[in-house]
Amino acid sequence: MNDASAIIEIKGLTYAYSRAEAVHDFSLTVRQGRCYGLFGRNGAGKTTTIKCLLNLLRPREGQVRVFGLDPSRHEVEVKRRLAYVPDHVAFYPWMSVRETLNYLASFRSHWNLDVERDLLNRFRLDAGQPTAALSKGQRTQVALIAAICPEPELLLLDEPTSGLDPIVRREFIETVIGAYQEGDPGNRTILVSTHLITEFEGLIDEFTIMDRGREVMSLGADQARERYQKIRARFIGEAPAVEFKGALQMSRKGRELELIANGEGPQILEQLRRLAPESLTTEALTLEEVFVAALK
Amino acid sequence: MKRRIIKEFRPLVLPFCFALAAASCVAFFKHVERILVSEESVGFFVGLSSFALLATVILMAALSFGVEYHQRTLGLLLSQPVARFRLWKEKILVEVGAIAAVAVFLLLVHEGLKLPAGRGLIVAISSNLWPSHEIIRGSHSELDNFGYWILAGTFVLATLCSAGFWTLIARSTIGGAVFTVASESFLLLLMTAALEKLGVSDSGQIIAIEIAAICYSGIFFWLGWRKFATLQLQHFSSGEGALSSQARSPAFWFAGSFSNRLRCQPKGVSLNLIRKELRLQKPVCMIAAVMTVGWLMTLVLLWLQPGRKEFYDAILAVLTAFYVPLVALLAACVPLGEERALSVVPWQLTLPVSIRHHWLIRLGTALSVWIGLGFLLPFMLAWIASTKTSVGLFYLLQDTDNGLAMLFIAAGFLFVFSFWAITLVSNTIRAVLTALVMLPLLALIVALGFWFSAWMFNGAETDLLAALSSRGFPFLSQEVMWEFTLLFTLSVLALAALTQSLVLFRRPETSRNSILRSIAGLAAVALIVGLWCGDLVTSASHFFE
Repeated sequence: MNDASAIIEIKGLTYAYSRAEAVHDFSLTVRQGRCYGLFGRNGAGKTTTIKCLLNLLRPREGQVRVFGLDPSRHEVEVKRRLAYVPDHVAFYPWMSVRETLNYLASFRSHWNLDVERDLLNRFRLDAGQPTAALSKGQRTQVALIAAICPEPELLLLDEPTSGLDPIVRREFIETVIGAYQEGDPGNRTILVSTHLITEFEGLIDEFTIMDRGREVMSLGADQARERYQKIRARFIGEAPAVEFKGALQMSRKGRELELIANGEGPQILEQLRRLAPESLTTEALTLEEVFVAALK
Repeated sequence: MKRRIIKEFRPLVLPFCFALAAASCVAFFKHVERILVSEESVGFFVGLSSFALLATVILMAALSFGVEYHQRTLGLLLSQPVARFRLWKEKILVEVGAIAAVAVFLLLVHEGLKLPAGRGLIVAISSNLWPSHEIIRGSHSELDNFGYWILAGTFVLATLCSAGFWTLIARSTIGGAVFTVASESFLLLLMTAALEKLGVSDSGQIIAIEIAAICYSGIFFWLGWRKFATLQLQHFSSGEGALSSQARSPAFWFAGSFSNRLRCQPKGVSLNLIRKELRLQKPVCMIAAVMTVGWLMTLVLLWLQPGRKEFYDAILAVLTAFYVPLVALLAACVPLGEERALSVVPWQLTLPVSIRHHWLIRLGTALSVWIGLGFLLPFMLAWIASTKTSVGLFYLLQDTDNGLAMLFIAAGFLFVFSFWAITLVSNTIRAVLTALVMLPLLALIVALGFWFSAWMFNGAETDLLAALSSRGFPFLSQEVMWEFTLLFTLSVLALAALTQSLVLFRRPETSRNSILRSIAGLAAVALIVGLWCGDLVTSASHFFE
């Protein structure tokens, strides 16, 4: 826990809702300027972990540090430097979009009005509209604007794209999040929790996959792409029924054999070449495929 | 069908149990009143428990539809492949069944204790909301038991039939309950005034009112069904402030320039938090508005018909008796209850402002609203009425037994425990019921502490009193000792409840264990305080002897 550039450090986090353990002995380090993905199926413990970072839940065991500070002791200091977009966005129904943004701006020492104006235009939001009349996706858009405008050091996004239409989703991920990080390169950090991994493929630097409250794997995105490979071999006759050491998954369809290799790609390729295939191709896995392979 | 009936009954369980407890208390205190010589103090408890019973019946009538708004399940319910009429019928059936069960239970307890049949009990119940004994102005004896049961029955019928409509209009349980009571009361008031003007006899008035009540029930039952059958889920908003958030009509009392002043600005955290808290208090403001209209209307009628002063005095007294505790309870718990209903609590807690700061602003604003609307407003209204009659808080001010101060302390205690309860439970209604259950429970524990102290310590504080006395400590007399122990007990319990609420305020959700721990903690404090105060009183009696 001595990494000076670590923005988030979680060590041995355990949290239980009554008797049901949601997170068990979970550790995570997010370094400054990175876009970190927290992937997992529904109920994997992603939201619980984020709530522990925000001091919305008190860990039963383990240590949580944000900016090197304990969120339960330095609550305001921590929250002043971050912004959070929850999975279920709710606002006061009597407030308009304008009033909601004013209300949230009053808590911040800095609020970029140009960004606010730009994002309201991009998302085609009417500032005078009451929040009670907003759709689920529009509420998420307002929450995203409210998170981006104070230009915080850390952005915590919990399923941020749920409810957004594909155009806005792409716009948000490629333009808004990209522009946010480029605004102060190397200093702005993002922790995004999602199960819609494909959408964040190009942004994620590192990620952790969670399942049933436990860490399944933590890797850099490039490292993952190198390590996990999809190998396709096509044979002249029926694909041979051979076991491959280091293959995570294997499927045989007539003359074709498809394997997912976990760090043992060269050895598997060598073994396949010995079987004299008609063609042999390799390709890197997408993060979503890594996620599926890891959890299968 | 069976599962749906169980689902419909589920939200009524807590008020149903509360109603059964209140019904038991009504019968029990009537029984005590019968065997005790001094009836006055017991009569207060009979009134209190019958008030609780009636309030719960109204709540149960409004809750069936209110809970669907609160839990945001109306869309889910209406999307099921079941005819709306069937859904409506099931809700009404469950309401009728629950209220009928309470009535049967009340009768059984009444019979079990062999209480004198009829009148006293029913009058005690019906007079709280439906001032029937005042309507017939001293002619109670002419009305037999059956007549009183009919009066109480018509009140329940009118409430049951109209609560659905008003809840669907208000889109909240509290709004529905307030509108139900207000519409019944206003109609009753206007009708009795008109009948009196026409010179209709007392018995004629009763018959006319009962016929009107049946017509009213039929019309509102039909209106309620029509509203449910054509219900559209437009802009979704839930919680007790839903009524006030839905309409931007200039006719709506809260809209306009005052509302504009409560709009948040880009600067000023504390001011924005206060603005937000005030906006969350809209249901309380709505109740205050209804009460003010009712009061002023009664006052106008009093000016027009000074001969019926006794009747109008009773109505003003009932209004005050209902309003003061209700506002104390709601001003404390509505804001957080509303935020919970809107699911904005976790989001609020992530804003960069200290929890203590937010909690203090919430407490301060709620306190101001309670004092302003729960005390100053009824006092001002009573002062306006003082040219014609001495009633309400103005009457208590002139009371030699510190009636106003006692009411303020009692309402303050309600406020604190309601504020505490909402940090524990998930919604406003539960918070109100929890506060109302906790108060007698804590009183019982303190009383137990008193009883145990005499048995365990038997005046261990005598030396302390002697030491204080030798140093010339003021206020040391046996008479003051009771007042001191009462104030000390209330202060310690209030402080403990507020401390717990601050701790719980940090958590967006509370588990069953933490609820039990908090209740146990308060019970322990109550027991310790009871033990100490009990011993202090025993010591004082030893010392002063």
